[in-house]
Amino acid sequence: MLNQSQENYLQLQGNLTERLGLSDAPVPLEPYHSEDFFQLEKKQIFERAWLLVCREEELPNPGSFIVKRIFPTDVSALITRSSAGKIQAFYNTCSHRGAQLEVQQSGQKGRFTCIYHRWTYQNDGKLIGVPDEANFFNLEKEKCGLTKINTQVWNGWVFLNLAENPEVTLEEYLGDFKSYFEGVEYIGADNPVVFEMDLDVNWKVLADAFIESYHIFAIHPETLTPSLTSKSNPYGRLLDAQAFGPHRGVSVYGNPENSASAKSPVELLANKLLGDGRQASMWGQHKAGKGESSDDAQDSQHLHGVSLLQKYLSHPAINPTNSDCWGQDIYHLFPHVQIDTGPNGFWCHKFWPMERNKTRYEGRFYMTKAQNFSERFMQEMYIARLAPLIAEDIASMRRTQIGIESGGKKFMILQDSEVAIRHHIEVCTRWVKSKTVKEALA
Amino acid sequence: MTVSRSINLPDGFSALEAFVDRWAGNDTMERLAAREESTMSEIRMFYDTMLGYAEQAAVLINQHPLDKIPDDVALLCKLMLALCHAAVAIEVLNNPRVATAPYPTGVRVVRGLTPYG
Repeated sequence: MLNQSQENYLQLQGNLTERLGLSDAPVPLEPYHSEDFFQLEKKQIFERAWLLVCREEELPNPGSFIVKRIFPTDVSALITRSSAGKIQAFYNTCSHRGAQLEVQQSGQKGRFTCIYHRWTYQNDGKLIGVPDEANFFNLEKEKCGLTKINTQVWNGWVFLNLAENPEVTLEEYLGDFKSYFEGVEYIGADNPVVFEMDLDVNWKVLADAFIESYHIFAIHPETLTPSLTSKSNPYGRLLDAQAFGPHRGVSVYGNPENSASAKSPVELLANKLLGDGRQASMWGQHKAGKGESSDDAQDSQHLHGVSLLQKYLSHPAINPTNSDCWGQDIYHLFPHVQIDTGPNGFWCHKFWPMERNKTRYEGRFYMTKAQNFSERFMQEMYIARLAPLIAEDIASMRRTQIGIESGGKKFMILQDSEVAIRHHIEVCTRWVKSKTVKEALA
Repeated sequence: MTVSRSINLPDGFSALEAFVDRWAGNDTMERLAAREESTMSEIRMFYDTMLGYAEQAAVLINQHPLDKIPDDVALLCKLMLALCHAAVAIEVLNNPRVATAPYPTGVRVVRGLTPYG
Protein backbone atom coordinates (compact mmCIF):
# COMPACT_ATOMS: atom_id res chain seq x y z
CA MET A 1 0.00 0.00 0.00
CA LEU A 2 1.41 3.37 -0.95
CA ASN A 3 0.65 6.30 1.27
CA GLN A 4 -0.42 9.63 -0.16
CA SER A 5 3.03 11.18 -0.36
CA GLN A 6 4.48 8.07 -2.01
CA GLU A 7 1.76 8.29 -4.64
CA ASN A 8 2.46 11.99 -5.15
CA TYR A 9 6.10 11.13 -5.53
CA LEU A 10 5.42 8.48 -8.17
CA GLN A 11 3.25 10.92 -10.10
CA LEU A 12 6.16 13.34 -10.24
CA GLN A 13 8.45 10.96 -12.03
CA GLY A 14 9.68 11.77 -15.46
CA ASN A 15 8.49 15.32 -15.81
CA LEU A 16 10.77 17.52 -13.69
CA THR A 17 12.88 18.50 -16.69
CA GLU A 18 9.79 19.42 -18.66
CA ARG A 19 8.27 21.30 -15.72
CA LEU A 20 11.40 23.46 -15.52
CA GLY A 21 10.99 24.26 -19.20
CA LEU A 22 14.20 22.49 -20.19
CA SER A 23 14.85 20.35 -23.24
CA ASP A 24 15.83 16.71 -22.83
CA ALA A 25 18.62 16.89 -25.43
CA PRO A 26 22.22 15.85 -24.68
CA VAL A 27 24.26 18.62 -23.00
CA PRO A 28 27.62 19.88 -24.38
CA LEU A 29 30.74 18.99 -22.35
CA GLU A 30 32.84 21.86 -23.69
CA PRO A 31 32.08 24.14 -20.69
CA TYR A 32 33.80 21.57 -18.45
CA HIS A 33 37.21 21.68 -20.14
CA SER A 34 37.50 24.72 -22.42
CA GLU A 35 39.93 27.44 -21.32
CA ASP A 36 37.99 29.98 -23.40
CA PHE A 37 34.76 29.09 -21.66
CA PHE A 38 36.47 29.32 -18.27
CA GLN A 39 37.77 32.81 -19.03
CA LEU A 40 34.28 33.86 -20.09
CA GLU A 41 32.81 32.43 -16.89
CA LYS A 42 35.28 34.48 -14.89
CA LYS A 43 34.40 37.71 -16.66
CA GLN A 44 30.70 37.22 -17.37
CA ILE A 45 29.64 35.28 -14.26
CA PHE A 46 32.04 35.75 -11.35
CA GLU A 47 32.81 39.40 -12.02
CA ARG A 48 29.09 40.27 -12.40
CA ALA A 49 27.06 38.00 -10.10
CA TRP A 50 26.42 38.47 -6.38
CA LEU A 51 28.72 35.90 -4.80
CA LEU A 52 27.89 34.30 -1.46
CA VAL A 53 31.16 34.33 0.50
CA CYS A 54 30.37 33.60 4.14
CA ARG A 55 27.86 33.82 6.96
CA GLU A 56 27.76 36.74 9.36
CA GLU A 57 28.57 34.35 12.24
CA GLU A 58 32.10 34.12 10.77
CA LEU A 59 32.40 37.77 11.84
CA PRO A 60 30.97 37.43 15.34
CA ASN A 61 32.14 40.65 16.98
CA PRO A 62 32.92 44.27 16.13
CA GLY A 63 36.53 44.06 14.94
CA SER A 64 36.22 40.52 13.51
CA PHE A 65 37.70 40.14 10.06
CA ILE A 66 38.34 37.48 7.44
CA VAL A 67 40.47 37.58 4.31
CA LYS A 68 39.02 35.67 1.39
CA ARG A 69 40.42 35.08 -2.07
CA ILE A 70 37.55 35.44 -4.49
CA PHE A 71 38.42 32.78 -7.08
CA PRO A 72 38.53 32.71 -10.08
CA THR A 73 39.50 36.40 -9.90
CA ASP A 74 42.69 37.68 -8.27
CA VAL A 75 40.69 39.66 -5.73
CA SER A 76 41.67 39.29 -2.09
CA ALA A 77 38.76 40.59 -0.04
CA LEU A 78 39.18 41.91 3.49
CA ILE A 79 35.77 41.49 5.08
CA THR A 80 35.32 43.32 8.37
CA ARG A 81 32.71 43.95 11.02
CA SER A 82 33.30 47.54 12.02
CA SER A 83 33.19 48.90 15.54
CA ALA A 84 29.64 50.02 14.68
CA GLY A 85 28.79 46.40 13.77
CA LYS A 86 28.51 46.84 9.99
CA ILE A 87 29.82 44.11 7.70
CA GLN A 88 31.74 45.48 4.70
CA ALA A 89 34.26 44.03 2.27
CA PHE A 90 37.27 45.94 0.94
CA TYR A 91 40.01 45.14 -1.51
CA ASN A 92 42.86 43.91 0.71
CA THR A 93 45.17 46.48 -0.83
CA CYS A 94 46.95 49.44 0.76
CA SER A 95 46.20 52.85 -0.78
CA HIS A 96 49.87 53.89 -0.73
CA ARG A 97 51.76 51.57 -3.12
CA GLY A 98 49.15 48.88 -3.56
CA ALA A 99 50.69 46.28 -1.28
CA GLN A 100 48.67 43.48 0.28
CA LEU A 101 47.36 44.87 3.57
CA GLU A 102 46.27 42.07 5.94
CA VAL A 103 48.24 38.82 5.78
CA GLN A 104 46.30 36.76 8.32
CA GLN A 105 43.26 34.75 7.22
CA SER A 106 41.03 35.85 10.08
CA GLY A 107 41.13 37.52 13.45
CA GLN A 108 40.09 40.45 15.54
CA LYS A 109 41.44 43.95 14.84
CA GLY A 110 40.25 47.51 15.30
CA ARG A 111 42.74 48.77 12.76
CA PHE A 112 44.89 47.39 9.96
CA THR A 113 48.48 48.48 9.38
CA CYS A 114 50.32 47.85 6.13
CA ILE A 115 53.63 46.13 6.85
CA TYR A 116 55.45 48.03 4.08
CA HIS A 117 55.26 51.69 5.30
CA ARG A 118 52.82 51.37 8.20
CA TRP A 119 49.85 53.19 6.69
CA THR A 120 47.00 52.45 9.09
CA TYR A 121 43.25 52.06 8.49
CA GLN A 122 40.22 51.69 10.76
CA ASN A 123 38.12 48.56 10.26
CA ASP A 124 35.54 50.72 8.46
CA GLY A 125 38.18 51.41 5.80
CA LYS A 126 39.10 54.95 6.83
CA LEU A 127 42.79 55.90 6.54
CA ILE A 128 43.93 57.23 9.91
CA GLY A 129 47.70 57.06 9.95
CA VAL A 130 50.45 57.99 7.47
CA PRO A 131 54.07 58.10 8.73
CA ASP A 132 55.89 61.28 7.61
CA GLU A 133 52.66 62.61 6.17
CA ALA A 134 54.19 66.10 5.71
CA ASN A 135 56.55 64.82 3.05
CA PHE A 136 53.65 63.88 0.69
CA PHE A 137 52.09 66.33 -1.77
CA ASN A 138 48.66 67.62 -0.71
CA LEU A 139 47.68 64.18 0.60
CA GLU A 140 43.91 64.07 1.05
CA LYS A 141 43.64 61.29 3.60
CA GLU A 142 39.83 61.19 3.56
CA LYS A 143 40.01 60.15 -0.12
CA CYS A 144 42.61 57.43 0.54
CA GLY A 145 40.59 54.90 2.49
CA LEU A 146 40.37 51.25 1.51
CA THR A 147 38.43 50.56 -1.69
CA LYS A 148 35.05 49.04 -0.96
CA ILE A 149 33.63 45.95 -2.59
CA ASN A 150 29.83 46.01 -2.89
CA THR A 151 28.57 44.06 0.11
CA GLN A 152 25.05 42.98 1.06
CA VAL A 153 23.81 40.74 3.87
CA TRP A 154 20.63 38.71 3.52
CA ASN A 155 19.38 36.41 6.30
CA GLY A 156 22.92 36.18 7.65
CA TRP A 157 24.50 35.32 4.28
CA VAL A 158 27.17 37.78 3.15
CA PHE A 159 27.28 38.49 -0.60
CA LEU A 160 29.89 40.43 -2.57
CA ASN A 161 29.67 41.86 -6.07
CA LEU A 162 32.95 42.65 -7.81
CA ALA A 163 31.40 44.96 -10.41
CA GLU A 164 32.12 48.61 -9.67
CA ASN A 165 28.45 49.37 -10.21
CA PRO A 166 26.41 46.15 -10.02
CA GLU A 167 23.70 46.12 -12.66
CA VAL A 168 21.17 44.57 -10.29
CA THR A 169 20.65 44.70 -6.54
CA LEU A 170 21.04 41.57 -4.43
CA GLU A 171 17.25 41.55 -4.08
CA GLU A 172 16.80 41.49 -7.85
CA TYR A 173 19.52 38.86 -8.15
CA LEU A 174 17.89 36.54 -5.61
CA GLY A 175 14.50 37.09 -7.25
CA ASP A 176 11.80 34.63 -6.18
CA PHE A 177 14.29 32.67 -4.10
CA LYS A 178 14.41 35.55 -1.60
CA SER A 179 10.80 35.30 -0.45
CA TYR A 180 10.83 31.51 -0.83
CA PHE A 181 13.80 31.04 1.54
CA GLU A 182 13.25 34.11 3.76
CA GLY A 183 13.39 33.38 7.48
CA VAL A 184 14.85 29.85 7.45
CA GLU A 185 16.23 29.03 10.90
CA TYR A 186 19.98 28.39 10.67
CA ILE A 187 20.66 25.95 13.49
CA GLY A 188 24.23 25.95 14.80
CA ALA A 189 25.29 28.64 12.33
CA ASP A 190 28.15 29.70 14.62
CA ASN A 191 29.57 26.20 15.02
CA PRO A 192 30.49 24.45 11.79
CA VAL A 193 33.03 21.74 11.14
CA VAL A 194 34.81 22.92 7.99
CA PHE A 195 36.40 20.73 5.32
CA GLU A 196 38.56 22.10 2.52
CA MET A 197 40.32 20.54 -0.44
CA ASP A 198 41.74 21.55 -3.78
CA LEU A 199 40.57 19.23 -6.53
CA ASP A 200 41.78 18.83 -10.09
CA VAL A 201 38.32 19.20 -11.58
CA ASN A 202 36.22 21.93 -13.17
CA TRP A 203 34.03 23.69 -10.60
CA LYS A 204 30.85 22.50 -12.32
CA VAL A 205 31.90 18.85 -11.96
CA LEU A 206 31.85 19.45 -8.20
CA ALA A 207 28.57 21.33 -8.24
CA ASP A 208 26.98 18.61 -10.38
CA ALA A 209 28.19 15.81 -8.11
CA PHE A 210 26.58 17.39 -5.05
CA ILE A 211 23.15 18.04 -6.58
CA GLU A 212 22.19 14.78 -8.25
CA SER A 213 20.88 11.73 -6.44
CA TYR A 214 21.28 9.23 -9.30
CA HIS A 215 24.86 8.32 -8.28
CA ILE A 216 24.03 7.38 -4.70
CA PHE A 217 23.29 3.69 -5.25
CA ALA A 218 26.49 3.31 -7.27
CA ILE A 219 29.26 5.09 -5.37
CA HIS A 220 27.83 5.32 -1.84
CA PRO A 221 26.61 1.73 -1.35
CA GLU A 222 27.45 1.53 2.36
CA THR A 223 27.39 5.19 3.35
CA LEU A 224 24.27 6.77 1.82
CA THR A 225 22.30 4.15 -0.06
CA PRO A 226 20.44 2.85 3.02
CA SER A 227 19.13 6.31 3.91
CA LEU A 228 18.52 7.91 0.49
CA THR A 229 17.17 4.97 -1.52
CA SER A 230 14.74 2.13 -0.84
CA LYS A 231 13.21 -0.90 -2.52
CA SER A 232 10.44 1.32 -3.90
CA ASN A 233 12.93 3.99 -5.06
CA PRO A 234 16.25 2.17 -5.67
CA TYR A 235 17.78 4.95 -7.76
CA GLY A 236 16.90 7.82 -5.46
CA ARG A 237 14.60 9.60 -7.88
CA LEU A 238 13.91 13.17 -6.83
CA LEU A 239 10.80 14.30 -5.01
CA ASP A 240 10.83 17.70 -6.63
CA ALA A 241 12.83 20.31 -8.52
CA GLN A 242 12.29 24.04 -8.79
CA ALA A 243 13.97 26.91 -10.59
CA PHE A 244 14.22 30.44 -9.19
CA GLY A 245 15.75 32.50 -11.98
CA PRO A 246 19.43 31.45 -12.08
CA HIS A 247 19.06 29.50 -8.81
CA ARG A 248 17.49 26.09 -8.29
CA GLY A 249 16.46 23.57 -5.67
CA VAL A 250 15.84 19.85 -5.57
CA SER A 251 14.17 17.80 -2.88
CA VAL A 252 15.80 14.43 -2.36
CA TYR A 253 14.04 11.20 -1.40
CA GLY A 254 14.77 9.66 2.00
CA ASN A 255 14.06 6.12 3.11
CA PRO A 256 11.58 6.39 6.02
CA GLU A 257 12.41 2.84 7.14
CA ASN A 258 16.10 3.55 7.60
CA SER A 259 15.99 6.23 10.30
CA ALA A 260 13.86 4.09 12.59
CA SER A 261 16.41 1.40 13.37
CA ALA A 262 20.06 1.88 14.08
CA LYS A 263 22.09 -1.27 13.58
CA SER A 264 25.55 0.03 14.33
CA PRO A 265 26.73 -0.67 17.91
CA VAL A 266 28.37 2.76 18.12
CA GLU A 267 25.23 4.50 16.88
CA LEU A 268 23.16 2.53 19.41
CA LEU A 269 25.60 3.64 22.08
CA ALA A 270 25.27 7.27 20.97
CA ASN A 271 21.46 6.98 21.16
CA LYS A 272 21.67 5.47 24.63
CA LEU A 273 24.02 8.18 25.89
CA LEU A 274 21.62 10.88 24.73
CA GLY A 275 18.82 9.34 26.76
CA ASP A 276 15.05 9.02 26.43
CA GLY A 277 13.32 10.17 23.32
CA ARG A 278 16.47 11.42 21.68
CA GLN A 279 17.86 9.70 18.69
CA ALA A 280 21.33 10.18 17.39
CA SER A 281 21.45 10.55 13.68
CA MET A 282 23.69 10.71 10.71
CA TRP A 283 23.33 14.45 10.81
CA GLY A 284 24.79 14.88 14.24
CA GLN A 285 21.98 16.53 16.08
CA HIS A 286 19.24 15.03 18.15
CA LYS A 287 15.83 14.65 16.69
CA ALA A 288 12.67 15.65 18.47
CA GLY A 289 11.75 12.33 20.02
CA LYS A 290 8.23 11.02 19.92
CA GLY A 291 6.72 10.72 23.39
CA GLU A 292 9.18 12.94 25.21
CA SER A 293 9.50 11.91 28.82
CA SER A 294 8.66 14.43 31.50
CA ASP A 295 12.30 14.39 32.63
CA ASP A 296 13.13 16.18 29.42
CA ALA A 297 11.10 19.16 30.58
CA GLN A 298 13.93 19.89 33.00
CA ASP A 299 16.41 19.99 30.21
CA SER A 300 15.86 23.49 28.92
CA GLN A 301 18.78 23.34 26.50
CA HIS A 302 17.26 20.28 24.93
CA LEU A 303 13.78 21.81 24.73
CA HIS A 304 15.23 24.95 23.19
CA GLY A 305 16.96 22.80 20.59
CA VAL A 306 13.76 20.91 19.85
CA SER A 307 11.72 24.07 19.41
CA LEU A 308 14.34 25.58 17.09
CA LEU A 309 14.33 22.38 15.06
CA GLN A 310 10.54 22.40 14.86
CA LYS A 311 10.60 26.02 13.70
CA TYR A 312 13.21 25.16 11.07
CA LEU A 313 11.29 22.12 9.83
CA SER A 314 8.01 24.04 9.63
CA HIS A 315 9.44 26.47 7.07
CA PRO A 316 7.77 25.78 3.69
CA ALA A 317 11.15 25.62 1.90
CA ILE A 318 12.25 22.68 4.05
CA ASN A 319 10.80 19.45 2.64
CA PRO A 320 8.73 21.52 0.18
CA THR A 321 6.50 18.64 -0.95
CA ASN A 322 5.80 17.77 2.67
CA SER A 323 6.75 14.18 1.97
CA ASP A 324 6.98 11.35 4.49
CA CYS A 325 9.82 10.04 2.34
CA TRP A 326 12.02 13.11 2.54
CA GLY A 327 15.80 12.93 2.76
CA GLN A 328 17.05 16.47 2.25
CA ASP A 329 16.85 19.50 -0.02
CA ILE A 330 19.66 21.05 -2.03
CA TYR A 331 19.40 24.72 -2.97
CA HIS A 332 21.96 25.93 -5.47
CA LEU A 333 22.58 29.66 -5.29
CA PHE A 334 24.08 30.60 -8.60
CA PRO A 335 26.89 30.45 -9.33
CA HIS A 336 28.96 28.51 -6.79
CA VAL A 337 27.16 27.75 -3.52
CA GLN A 338 24.78 25.04 -2.42
CA ILE A 339 22.81 25.25 0.81
CA ASP A 340 21.58 21.82 1.87
CA THR A 341 18.73 21.40 4.33
CA GLY A 342 18.19 18.08 6.08
CA PRO A 343 16.02 16.73 8.90
CA ASN A 344 18.41 18.04 11.58
CA GLY A 345 19.79 21.25 10.16
CA PHE A 346 21.74 22.68 7.27
CA TRP A 347 25.13 22.51 5.61
CA CYS A 348 26.79 24.38 2.81
CA HIS A 349 29.11 23.60 -0.11
CA LYS A 350 31.16 26.24 -1.95
CA PHE A 351 32.96 25.60 -5.23
CA TRP A 352 35.61 28.23 -5.94
CA PRO A 353 36.97 27.90 -9.50
CA MET A 354 40.77 28.31 -9.42
CA GLU A 355 41.54 27.20 -12.96
CA ARG A 356 39.54 25.53 -15.70
CA ASN A 357 40.30 22.16 -14.10
CA LYS A 358 41.08 23.12 -10.51
CA THR A 359 38.59 23.96 -7.78
CA ARG A 360 38.75 24.80 -4.09
CA TYR A 361 36.00 23.02 -2.21
CA GLU A 362 34.78 24.40 1.11
CA GLY A 363 32.21 22.36 3.03
CA ARG A 364 30.64 23.72 6.20
CA PHE A 365 28.51 21.38 8.31
CA TYR A 366 26.73 23.23 11.07
CA MET A 367 26.00 21.76 14.50
CA THR A 368 24.81 23.25 17.76
CA LYS A 369 27.58 23.52 20.35
CA ALA A 370 27.80 20.33 22.37
CA GLN A 371 26.65 20.79 25.97
CA ASN A 372 28.21 17.58 27.24
CA PHE A 373 30.34 14.65 26.18
CA SER A 374 27.36 12.60 24.95
CA GLU A 375 26.47 15.30 22.43
CA ARG A 376 30.10 15.72 21.42
CA PHE A 377 30.37 11.96 20.85
CA MET A 378 27.39 12.00 18.49
CA GLN A 379 28.89 14.90 16.55
CA GLU A 380 32.16 13.01 16.12
CA MET A 381 30.18 10.05 14.81
CA TYR A 382 28.69 12.36 12.21
CA ILE A 383 32.07 13.80 11.22
CA ALA A 384 33.62 10.33 11.07
CA ARG A 385 30.88 9.23 8.66
CA LEU A 386 31.16 12.34 6.52
CA ALA A 387 34.84 11.81 5.74
CA PRO A 388 34.46 8.64 3.62
CA LEU A 389 31.45 10.14 1.87
CA ILE A 390 33.61 13.01 0.70
CA ALA A 391 36.37 10.59 -0.31
CA GLU A 392 33.90 8.60 -2.43
CA ASP A 393 32.78 11.77 -4.18
CA ILE A 394 36.37 12.98 -4.76
CA ALA A 395 37.23 9.78 -6.59
CA SER A 396 34.21 9.99 -8.89
CA MET A 397 34.70 13.66 -9.67
CA ARG A 398 38.33 13.13 -10.60
CA ARG A 399 37.39 10.26 -12.93
CA THR A 400 34.78 12.53 -14.52
CA GLN A 401 37.27 15.29 -15.30
CA ILE A 402 39.86 12.84 -16.64
CA GLY A 403 37.24 11.26 -18.89
CA ILE A 404 35.96 14.59 -20.19
CA GLU A 405 39.47 15.86 -20.95
CA SER A 406 40.37 12.63 -22.69
CA GLY A 407 37.88 13.71 -25.34
CA GLY A 408 35.85 11.54 -27.65
CA LYS A 409 32.61 12.66 -26.06
CA LYS A 410 31.19 16.05 -26.92
CA PHE A 411 27.94 15.65 -24.98
CA MET A 412 26.63 14.15 -21.76
CA ILE A 413 23.30 12.38 -21.50
CA LEU A 414 21.23 13.45 -18.50
CA GLN A 415 18.19 11.80 -16.94
CA ASP A 416 15.33 13.45 -15.08
CA SER A 417 16.93 13.29 -11.61
CA GLU A 418 19.90 15.18 -13.06
CA VAL A 419 17.68 18.12 -13.95
CA ALA A 420 19.58 20.56 -11.72
CA ILE A 421 22.79 19.93 -13.69
CA ARG A 422 20.95 20.72 -16.90
CA HIS A 423 19.51 23.91 -15.45
CA HIS A 424 22.88 25.05 -14.08
CA ILE A 425 24.77 24.58 -17.33
CA GLU A 426 22.01 26.33 -19.24
CA VAL A 427 22.20 29.32 -16.86
CA CYS A 428 26.03 29.40 -17.05
CA THR A 429 25.85 29.43 -20.84
CA ARG A 430 23.24 32.18 -20.83
CA TRP A 431 25.37 34.38 -18.51
CA VAL A 432 28.46 33.78 -20.62
CA LYS A 433 26.59 34.91 -23.74
CA SER A 434 24.58 37.80 -22.28
CA LYS A 435 25.81 41.35 -22.74
CA THR A 436 24.10 42.52 -19.57
CA VAL A 437 23.12 40.92 -16.27
CA LYS A 438 19.52 42.05 -16.83
CA GLU A 439 19.54 40.09 -20.09
CA ALA A 440 21.03 37.04 -18.33
CA LEU A 441 18.33 37.20 -15.66
CA ALA A 442 15.45 37.78 -18.08
CA MET B 1 56.88 1.43 19.76
CA THR B 2 56.15 2.91 23.14
CA VAL B 3 56.66 6.50 24.09
CA SER B 4 56.76 7.29 27.76
CA ARG B 5 53.94 9.62 28.73
CA SER B 6 53.52 11.65 31.85
CA ILE B 7 49.75 11.18 31.76
CA ASN B 8 48.04 7.82 32.09
CA LEU B 9 44.42 6.87 31.62
CA PRO B 10 42.12 7.08 34.69
CA ASP B 11 41.92 4.12 37.09
CA GLY B 12 40.03 1.20 35.66
CA PHE B 13 41.02 1.88 32.04
CA SER B 14 44.62 0.67 32.02
CA ALA B 15 43.69 -2.05 29.50
CA LEU B 16 43.35 0.75 26.94
CA GLU B 17 46.86 2.16 27.46
CA ALA B 18 48.21 0.22 24.48
CA PHE B 19 45.88 2.17 22.16
CA VAL B 20 46.74 5.68 23.32
CA ASP B 21 49.72 6.34 21.07
CA ARG B 22 47.86 5.62 17.88
CA TRP B 23 44.25 6.45 18.69
CA ALA B 24 44.21 9.32 21.21
CA GLY B 25 44.75 11.94 18.50
CA ASN B 26 44.43 15.59 19.44
CA ASP B 27 42.10 16.53 16.61
CA THR B 28 39.80 15.17 13.93
CA MET B 29 42.55 14.99 11.31
CA GLU B 30 44.71 12.79 13.58
CA ARG B 31 41.78 10.47 14.31
CA LEU B 32 40.96 10.23 10.60
CA ALA B 33 44.59 9.36 9.87
CA ALA B 34 44.58 6.69 12.60
CA ARG B 35 41.68 4.94 10.88
CA GLU B 36 43.06 5.37 7.37
CA GLU B 37 46.58 4.21 8.23
CA SER B 38 45.75 1.19 10.38
CA THR B 39 45.10 -2.34 9.19
CA MET B 40 41.67 -3.87 9.67
CA SER B 41 42.99 -6.18 12.39
CA GLU B 42 44.47 -3.21 14.27
CA ILE B 43 41.20 -1.31 13.94
CA ARG B 44 39.23 -4.40 15.00
CA MET B 45 41.41 -4.82 18.08
CA PHE B 46 40.86 -1.21 19.15
CA TYR B 47 37.16 -1.22 18.27
CA ASP B 48 36.35 -4.41 20.19
CA THR B 49 38.33 -3.43 23.28
CA MET B 50 37.15 0.18 23.34
CA LEU B 51 33.50 -0.75 22.83
CA GLY B 52 33.72 -2.94 25.93
CA TYR B 53 34.72 0.07 28.03
CA ALA B 54 32.66 2.68 26.18
CA GLU B 55 29.68 3.01 28.51
CA GLN B 56 31.70 3.32 31.69
CA ALA B 57 34.07 5.72 29.93
CA ALA B 58 31.11 7.91 28.87
CA VAL B 59 29.80 7.97 32.44
CA LEU B 60 33.18 9.18 33.71
CA ILE B 61 33.72 11.78 30.99
CA ASN B 62 30.17 13.11 31.37
CA GLN B 63 31.00 14.07 34.97
CA HIS B 64 33.13 16.93 33.62
CA PRO B 65 32.10 20.06 31.72
CA LEU B 66 33.61 19.95 28.22
CA ASP B 67 35.87 22.92 28.90
CA LYS B 68 37.25 21.50 32.18
CA ILE B 69 38.20 17.92 31.42
CA PRO B 70 41.22 16.78 33.51
CA ASP B 71 44.21 15.51 31.51
CA ASP B 72 43.76 11.80 32.27
CA VAL B 73 40.04 11.91 31.43
CA ALA B 74 40.91 13.87 28.29
CA LEU B 75 42.98 10.94 27.04
CA LEU B 76 39.99 8.67 27.56
CA CYS B 77 37.74 11.19 25.84
CA LYS B 78 40.01 11.26 22.79
CA LEU B 79 39.97 7.45 22.62
CA MET B 80 36.16 7.55 22.70
CA LEU B 81 36.07 10.04 19.84
CA ALA B 82 38.43 7.75 17.90
CA LEU B 83 35.95 4.91 18.43
CA CYS B 84 33.61 6.80 16.05
CA HIS B 85 36.26 6.63 13.34
CA ALA B 86 37.12 2.98 13.99
CA ALA B 87 33.39 2.26 13.71
CA VAL B 88 33.33 3.67 10.18
CA ALA B 89 35.89 1.06 9.11
CA ILE B 90 34.23 -1.83 10.98
CA GLU B 91 30.53 -1.01 10.65
CA VAL B 92 30.31 0.88 7.35
CA LEU B 93 33.25 0.45 4.97
CA ASN B 94 34.56 -2.98 5.96
CA ASN B 95 37.90 -1.45 5.03
CA PRO B 96 40.23 1.11 6.65
CA ARG B 97 39.65 3.54 3.76
CA VAL B 98 37.34 4.05 0.83
CA ALA B 99 38.73 1.39 -1.52
CA THR B 100 37.95 3.32 -4.70
CA ALA B 101 39.38 6.68 -3.58
CA PRO B 102 42.98 7.87 -3.91
CA TYR B 103 44.98 8.20 -0.71
CA PRO B 104 45.76 10.63 0.77
CA THR B 105 42.43 12.20 -0.11
CA GLY B 106 43.66 15.79 0.29
CA VAL B 107 40.75 16.66 2.57
CA ARG B 108 41.69 19.16 5.30
CA VAL B 109 39.61 19.77 8.41
CA VAL B 110 40.24 23.49 8.80
CA ARG B 111 37.84 24.01 11.69
CA GLY B 112 36.90 21.25 14.08
CA LEU B 113 34.44 21.12 16.94
CA THR B 114 35.32 21.84 20.55
CA PRO B 115 36.89 20.05 22.29
CA TYR B 116 39.57 18.11 20.38
CA GLY B 117 38.39 18.99 16.88
